[in-house]
Amino acid sequence: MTNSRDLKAQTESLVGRLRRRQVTGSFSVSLATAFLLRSVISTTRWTDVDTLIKLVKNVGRKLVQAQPSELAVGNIVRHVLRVIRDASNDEATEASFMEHAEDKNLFTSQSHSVFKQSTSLLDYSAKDSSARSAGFYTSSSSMINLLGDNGLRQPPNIIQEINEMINELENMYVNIWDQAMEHIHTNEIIMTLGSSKTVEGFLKAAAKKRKFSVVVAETSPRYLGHDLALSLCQVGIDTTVISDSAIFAVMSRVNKVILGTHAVLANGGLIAISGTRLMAAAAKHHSTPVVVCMGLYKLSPLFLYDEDSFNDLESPENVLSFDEGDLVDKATILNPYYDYVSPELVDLYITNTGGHPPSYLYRLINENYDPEDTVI
Amino acid sequence: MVKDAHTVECVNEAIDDNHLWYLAYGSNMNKKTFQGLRKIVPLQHKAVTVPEYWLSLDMMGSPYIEPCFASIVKRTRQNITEGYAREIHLRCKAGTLFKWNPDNPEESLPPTLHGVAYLITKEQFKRILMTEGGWGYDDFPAGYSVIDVECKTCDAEKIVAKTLIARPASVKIGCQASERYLNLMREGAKEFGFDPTYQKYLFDLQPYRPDTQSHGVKSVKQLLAQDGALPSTKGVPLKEEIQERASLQNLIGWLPYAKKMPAEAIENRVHSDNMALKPSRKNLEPETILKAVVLADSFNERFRPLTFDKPRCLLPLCNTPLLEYTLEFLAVAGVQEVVLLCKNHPEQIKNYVRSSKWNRPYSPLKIITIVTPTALSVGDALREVDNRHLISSDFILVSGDVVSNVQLDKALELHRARKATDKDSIMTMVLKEASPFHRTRALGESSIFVIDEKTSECLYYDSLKLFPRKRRMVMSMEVFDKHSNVQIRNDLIDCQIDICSVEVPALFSDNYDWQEIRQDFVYGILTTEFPKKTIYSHVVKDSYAARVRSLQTYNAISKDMLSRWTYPIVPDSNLQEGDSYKYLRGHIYKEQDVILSRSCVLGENVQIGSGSEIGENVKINNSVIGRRVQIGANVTIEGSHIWDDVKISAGCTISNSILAAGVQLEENVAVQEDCLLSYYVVVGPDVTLPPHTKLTRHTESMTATQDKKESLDHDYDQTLIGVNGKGNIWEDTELFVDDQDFRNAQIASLAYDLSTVTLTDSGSEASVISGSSISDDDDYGDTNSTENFSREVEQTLDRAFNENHSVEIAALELNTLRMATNTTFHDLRTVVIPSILDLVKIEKLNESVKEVLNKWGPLIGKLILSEADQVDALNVSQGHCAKKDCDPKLLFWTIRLLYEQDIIEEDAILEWYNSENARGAGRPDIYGQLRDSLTPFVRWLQEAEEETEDEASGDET
Repeated sequence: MTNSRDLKAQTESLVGRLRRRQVTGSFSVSLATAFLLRSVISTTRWTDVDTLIKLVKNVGRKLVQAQPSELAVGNIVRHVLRVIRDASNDEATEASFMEHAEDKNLFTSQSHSVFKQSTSLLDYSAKDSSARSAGFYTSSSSMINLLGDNGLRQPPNIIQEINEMINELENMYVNIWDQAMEHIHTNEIIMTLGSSKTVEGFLKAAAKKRKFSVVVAETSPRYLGHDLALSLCQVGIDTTVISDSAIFAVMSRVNKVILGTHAVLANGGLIAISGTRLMAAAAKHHSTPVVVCMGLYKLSPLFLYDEDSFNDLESPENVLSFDEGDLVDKATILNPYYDYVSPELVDLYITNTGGHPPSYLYRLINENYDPEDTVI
Repeated sequence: MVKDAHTVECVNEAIDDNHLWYLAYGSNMNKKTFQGLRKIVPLQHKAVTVPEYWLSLDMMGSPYIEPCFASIVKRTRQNITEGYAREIHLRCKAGTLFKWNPDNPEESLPPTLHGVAYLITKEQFKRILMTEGGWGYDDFPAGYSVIDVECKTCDAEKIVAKTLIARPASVKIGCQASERYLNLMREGAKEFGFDPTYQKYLFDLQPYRPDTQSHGVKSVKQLLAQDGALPSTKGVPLKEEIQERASLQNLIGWLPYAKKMPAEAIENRVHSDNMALKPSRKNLEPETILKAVVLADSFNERFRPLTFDKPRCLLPLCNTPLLEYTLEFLAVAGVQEVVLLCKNHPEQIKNYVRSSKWNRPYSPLKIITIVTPTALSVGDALREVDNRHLISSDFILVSGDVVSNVQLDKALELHRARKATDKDSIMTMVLKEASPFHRTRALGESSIFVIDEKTSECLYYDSLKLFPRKRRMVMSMEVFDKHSNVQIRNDLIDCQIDICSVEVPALFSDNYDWQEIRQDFVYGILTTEFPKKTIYSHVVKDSYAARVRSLQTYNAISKDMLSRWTYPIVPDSNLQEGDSYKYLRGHIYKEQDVILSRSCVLGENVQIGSGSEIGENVKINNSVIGRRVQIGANVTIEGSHIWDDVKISAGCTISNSILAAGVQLEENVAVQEDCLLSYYVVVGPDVTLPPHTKLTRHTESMTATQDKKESLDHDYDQTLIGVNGKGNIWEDTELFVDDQDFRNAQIASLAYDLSTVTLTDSGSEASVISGSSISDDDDYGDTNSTENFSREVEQTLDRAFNENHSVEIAALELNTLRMATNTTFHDLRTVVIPSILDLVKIEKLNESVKEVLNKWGPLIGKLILSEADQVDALNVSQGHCAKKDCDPKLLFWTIRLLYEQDIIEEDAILEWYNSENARGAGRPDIYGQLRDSLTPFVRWLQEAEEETEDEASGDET
């Protein structure tokens, strides 16, 4: 059933689409990655967990390299790896018990009592670190042969976990939006920029019950702020669009800054649409709280070593039209898509699992990713 | 009407031929399903148990929606081993914990099958068979098959019932049924009052958790029907699309026998996995296959001598072959099949395609390489396409050197929409807006498009060459009668991306004299009445499109790419497999394994390929460095393109030039503007290549088809290219033979500086250097090229003076310059003589003149070939001295010294002295005065001549 060529085709197709930017945006990218990894795991033959991890890592590496600026790809891969590792650890405990049972069954006559013994062993081995490394699928490949099966087995737990993860991804927005009431209060003035679906929904969720105003910076040169403002207006939120240069001036009247982000790095720094840093810095100056809304899949265990490394420079077309032939020759125009916002400028991260202060991010990272997988 | 199963009386066993017992064990146990969905009302029903059978959940279903359906499994052995138990466990209750008690193996097995026996008619049974996903094929190894089983009612009564069992091929071990399906069974079991243990067993079964709610049956049906949508041809796929695709692919994975099924058997045409992923969609209409015709050859020779060794489309631009950009562009546009027409070096192109990522099974497009060795133009190539019947639907016609990020989908859509309404519309030209003198425009190859603003129909087309400048354009007045809103545009970059109808190649076949797609085809279609066809244009504003037509555009596009105008086609997108470019601040693109010395300075817009080593104090600006390039210390590279495997020794300077792969520069070589060093040329040490030098290892007479090795050992011009040099000057003979204006070729050169050209009409009236009119040709009066030339000459001379070159080298440089710019010796003299005379210091005239002319007089001599030239030189000197209002003695000394050096002979002096020109007819008095100042010298000359004549005659007598 396994058709490694199909799998390769699927992988390469996604790699191609990532590279050509036919699939963009953290959310769609992570869904696509999750779906691909699920079919990798469900359709490939593998006999032990190490092979599976290697396999997933290989696919993951290709995807990450195809579009290094989409950090969510790597995050999903790491999370899936974590799921596999956890599942294998769980299975390992069961395995050690099965192994015992089987061995004793074959070689001793007092099988019943031994079985009893090994049941109690189960409890211990759950915490036994040596059992962790054993791995169910490593130790019991013989068992598969016993089934008379040709090795085509579903790893139900892993697939189930991945399905759960996909589920969680899909419900992520709602989970974030549900928290809106805790953060936005009546008569507040909220400032934001860009056009993040998370923030948009967050504001709209709050607007269902409370009345507040939103100031949207237009976010040149893409003017995504215009889109956001339009959408907010349509649900009856009192919205003001300001030019980016007015951010600092208006900041003194703002109660809260709510930001979307492209990715969050291990130190809590944001990779967010350009202009975010300006807004965050202005907020810092006025001691306005800065709240970042993000799905957990945007949290990356990577650190930034160079401010440009996760950035993406777009065509300068938006800044200066290519038609201006003479200027094009003489001027160097940079049009970075993202800003790096250092963690000290952020006060709170609202994820689908709740709000977390910057100091808590390391725990989220440890919960979601295995340290061994930081480098895919 | 539901009776409690326990109270059902013993039924009449006498079943006639028309009735039979049917055992239901899955969802059919549920009244809702059986009576509601399947519309079967049984005569009787009984709760029964079926010994020696178990309920299994191993009949394959549709992934995610209904992973599996119920089936039954017969107990095949009495003596239960653990393996058997485990297998049964996986088949029946996957997802629950398997317990194995060796003492009581039965414990691990599921309970005996419980079910409902229905008494139904044969008709009804047929309907069950039809609706029960059995596909109704007996010879087909999947689905359900019918067997007879013996059931026991609660009264221990025996009934033989027909039931369905999954065929082995449909069995998928380890599945879990959906919650919905399990619930149907649970409800049914409850309804018929099954044994509580059995009910509990059903309740303990673990349902499969579908991952998303959106996976409705509908979406799956849709996706099955439209599986051809893989891979996405549209921009960003929707979330749903991703999911659909994922589930489709899963489905394919789940149905291993799918490809063996007869197509009709599968309700929704599940394609074989191969077909779903490769773009060979046999089941789709032919219109949906988007084809492209790529012209790998440009049918001109602008890239010679480079194209002796490599076809143009494989020349690297930013270290990636040009063809790669075109193919990438087509892949993004959703093209599935590419017909690649190549003429020169077809083997290289084929090899490249074969080893590229496009030849992988997962490649989004399929490339068919066609060799057309006889084609001499685009027209010939398209006629070949027509002859071979390669095209059966609309296609995109591009040349293999297009760099573009234009999204073609909108243009395609418009083109198709137009075709639906206007049958005569045969072509849509994709054009990009840009200012007329944009660097990325191929200078001298612009065009005028007359476009109807509303319909964007192209009404008239005319090509424009820079030289001779076109001053008028003739078009029919009808255009204005028929169309109210007409745009005449000169601001469009035409990179010849055309969406063509099938008729286009045929039209080329009909008109045998059409060569070019624009000048002949578009012009022809638009100006002739027959055939009545229309051509449309699609103007794109905010994306990038350009064609590498000449060295000038090569340079410009490379710059655009480095400064990211072509985004997302930028070096750090790593188009080719194995590329690893990373972006660094300041538009620096560096691949892995680059060794930079500590003191080297990388300026803006620099790209460096892997394996390159950059030495100490190297300065690189606006340049592309290939892979495995070695650059020694103190090298300066400015605006140049250094291809792979080039070796540059210490102290070299390179500006605005191309060094092809394998070139070696020995120490202290200076490569000046617009040089082109073709493959494996060696230069140096210690030479300066004058601007516009083109070097190749081939001899001039050689054509591309000959074997290059024969010519490699050959006497090279060592004064030019150095002691160790290997390479010949390549003269662009084509340019002069061809009827086109050579200046058009000149501006296509690499370093042609746009800023020095003022392309306004007023330029043609400006004056000419040295007062002497060069030519009466109006266009030639364009001062710029002359000024440019004289500046070049002056620079060359300055270098010669400052660096104290030998006269031979200076003469050689000047000569090269002269040939490169196609000027005459007269032009050279008008610049050289004044420059030399300028060196003379007025204060110490006598010594100074002697010094200067002793050194540089021979240079003037090198520029003088005949007596007429001598006279001309005298005229020039006179003109110079007249202008400078310097010491009148300067002219005297100059002429005298040149005479002494035998550069100018007395006959020439006399001829000049007596000519009208020298007397200064119609010129300021100073000319006459200057001439007069020479009178004593001339008299002396005459006397000397007479003396020698006397002597000679005396001797004779």
